[in-house]
Amino acid sequence: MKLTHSNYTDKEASAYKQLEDHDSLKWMEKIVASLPEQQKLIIQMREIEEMEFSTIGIVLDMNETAIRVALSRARKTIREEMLKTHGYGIG
Amino acid sequence: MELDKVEALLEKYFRGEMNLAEEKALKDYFSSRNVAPSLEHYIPMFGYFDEAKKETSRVSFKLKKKKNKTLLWLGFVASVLVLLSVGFYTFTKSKEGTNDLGTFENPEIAFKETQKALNLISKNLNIGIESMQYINEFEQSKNKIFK
Repeated sequence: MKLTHSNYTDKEASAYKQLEDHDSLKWMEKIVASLPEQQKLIIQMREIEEMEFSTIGIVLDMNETAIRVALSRARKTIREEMLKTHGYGIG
Repeated sequence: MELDKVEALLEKYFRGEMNLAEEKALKDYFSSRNVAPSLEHYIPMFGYFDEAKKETSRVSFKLKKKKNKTLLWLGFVASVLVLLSVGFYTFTKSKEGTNDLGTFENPEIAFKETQKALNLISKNLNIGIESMQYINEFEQSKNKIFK
């Protein structure tokens, strides 16, 4: 009798892929933490808490346009930083 | 979703011009398995926001109740008032007690009572003087020894 293991494939992502994902999450954490306080708050409220612009406006005492501008700046900063680490592997 | 459509959405996203539903759709796209290879570098960004959503605080905290200042003052004033009134009451009461010692209608009885009281005092005084005799005894012996 012979045992074949061909049907036991690992459904999880490969260890390398997992490590890489974990690494980029760490990078994201660092990038968000390095943002100015106000942008950090807006990112937290918009991306994580998924709050409406009007609600964020009440919390931070800002008008919606200012929030949109700050949010746009924060997102662009994150993108740039992310591309930097993605491109060179170092920050 | 087609690549050019996603790219247009991303542009809008980075300009901060999306509403929550549109952002949700974009995030859903990037958490799906069929992200275009040219856009793969955005996955960690959206992935991070998804991960961060799971974070919860394990520290429970209570909001401090704001104390009503007027109520606090009222309590303070009330307690002072109570203290003052109790103090005043006992003070006047004790004063009355020292002033009023009772009185006798009949002078003869009054005289007898006074005599009784004075007798009591002198008796007690004599007891005190009797014990003083011992001290005299000491004095005498001392004088005998130290001349």
